[in-house]
Formats: sequence, C-alpha cells, structure tokens
Amino acid sequence: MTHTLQPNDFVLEVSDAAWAELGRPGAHWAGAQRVAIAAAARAASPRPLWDRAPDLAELSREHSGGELSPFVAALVERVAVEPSSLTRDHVHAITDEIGDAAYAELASIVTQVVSIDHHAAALGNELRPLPAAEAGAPHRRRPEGLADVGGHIEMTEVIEGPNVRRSLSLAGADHERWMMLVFAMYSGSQFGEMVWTDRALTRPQVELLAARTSALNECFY
Amino acid sequence: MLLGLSSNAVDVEADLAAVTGNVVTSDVVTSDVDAGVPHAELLSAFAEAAWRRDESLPPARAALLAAVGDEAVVEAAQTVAIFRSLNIAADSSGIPLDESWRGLAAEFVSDLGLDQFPTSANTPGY
Repeated sequence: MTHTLQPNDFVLEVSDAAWAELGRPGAHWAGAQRVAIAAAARAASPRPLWDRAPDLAELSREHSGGELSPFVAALVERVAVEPSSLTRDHVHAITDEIGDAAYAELASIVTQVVSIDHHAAALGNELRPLPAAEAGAPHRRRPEGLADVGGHIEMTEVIEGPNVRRSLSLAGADHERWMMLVFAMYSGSQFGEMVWTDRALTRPQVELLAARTSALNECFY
Repeated sequence: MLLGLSSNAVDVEADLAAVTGNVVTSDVVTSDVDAGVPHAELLSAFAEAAWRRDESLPPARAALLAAVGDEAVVEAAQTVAIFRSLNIAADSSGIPLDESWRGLAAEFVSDLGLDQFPTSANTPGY
C-alpha cells in the first residue's frame, strides 16, 4: 500500500490562495500568459551538460500561436533552472525589452510554481492541475516605495528582515503571495529564533536542508 | 550561516563543509560529510534527491521517513521546495548579502568555495 504524505493545513491553504491567482490578470501579464508562464516553469528542468540552453538574444520575440514568444518561454526556463547565471547585465538587457515589472512578475510566478510543485514532488504527490485562465487586462500598477538598493531591479527601499524579503517586491501582490509561502513552509514567525521547539525538525536540521539546497543551486545568497 | 548559528544555539558543532560536500556542477552531486546534526546524511540525501526529482527520490524519502516520521518528512519537503524558490528570488533579483551577515560570511565563504558561485558577484567583498 502506498504511504501518502499530506501537506500541513496552513501550507495547503496558502498554496491554494496563490494557485487561484495564477490564472487571473496580473500587473503586466494577462491571465492566459500567466498560466503559460506557470506551465513553462513546471516544464523546466536542468539540462544535461551536452544540451545548452539557447542564447536569449537569438530567440524570436514574435508570438507564433502560443501565449509566450520563444524569448519569454526561454526566459522562464532560465529563471526557473539557472537563475544563478543571470548577471546584472543580462537582467538589464531583458528588462530593457519587456520592462522591469513584467520581469519581476514573471520571476515571481516562477517562485510560486516552483515552491508548490517541488513540495508536492518531494512528498511523492501528484502536481495540481494548472488553473484556468481568466479574461481581463493587466492592471499596470507599480508598487510604491521602490528604489535601486544594489540589486538587478528596483525593490522595496525600507524593509524589516533579510534582503530576500524585498527581492521581487516589484511584483507586488505576486511577491506577497510567495512570501506567504515562505512564511508557511519555512520560518513562520520564528525566523529570528535559533531554537525551534514546536516542530518535528530542529532548526539546525532545517538549515542543513536549506543550505544543501542552496549549494546545489549554486546560490551565494 | 543559519546552520552554524542555530547549531551553536543548541551546543552542536555543525560541520559546515557538509553543505557543499562534493558538489560539482554536473548532474552528479554527492555529499559524504556528516554535518554533525541528527540524521544529517539522510536529510542531505533527501535534499539532493528532491532537487534532482529522479529515481533517487522515493528511496531517499522512504529512508528519511523510517528515521524521522511523517511530520518531519513533510517539513523537510517544505524546506527544500521553498529554498529552491528562495534561490530563484535571490538570484533573479540580484539581492546582495545582508549587511549584518557579511562579517559572518567572510569567515567561511572561501573555505567552503562559495566564492566560486557566480552570484557571489552580487556581493562584492562580502
């Protein structure tokens, strides 16, 4: 008999809320485009050494029937599986074309899909179906309080907590939904406490998992 | 860094080399170092298998489950999943290391080879 592992209720609730919004119009992408970005993020996996990802500069910016141009589809793959290869110059070349807020929203959709999909996969559970796309135009609003704080894109100038809290804050509501996933899946309200006593794993065990994953992703941060 | 701080808080001497282990940039990734925390080997194997999402995942999950139980495996799955996305958020946005962590980071970055990661360029001098 298969042993089924159930996500905890709070993680499930926060995941449901994030998933429901993926198909709705965002700040810069329409619902159908957001679902297509989610699908591309889901499909992305690290390429073997002999199969190099195409150069983004050489890909068509024209749509050929799908919701995303080959360039945007490849960008989603790059963000999902090789984000450590994105230099400041790369990101600025991308944002010069599609806009910094559209880039942040794309990356923020990827972070939500990756969190939820990898959680299900790690537990051996089925991935949830992608949401249906809803009609409507992107609202084009830009969050307030942003500044150049030394990253590749503008982000919230004043924050409490670690820098990752403001990383994709340019994506507004999408970033906030992802931060709720971070809250539910990782630290809760205990980020600053080095001893966790109300969990199945100790803080050092959690941090070993975290650090090992970050090393595999070659993430310096 | 938080591995070191949280281990110190419970009087455990964590071997931070377990974080990088024998990491290479191909699809062959291993870690054979005991981190000094309970079930470190099983946790590390689970993190690697969950990262690869290949045939190594079911046995790694089963081994961890046998050692720590359902609730802990669910927490482990949450952690590896959310950190995969935290890395994406950090690297795609180019955030530098937090000021308050730079002094601590300097102590072990070069020892562990973390300065070889391309994104170390986002934190010049750390």
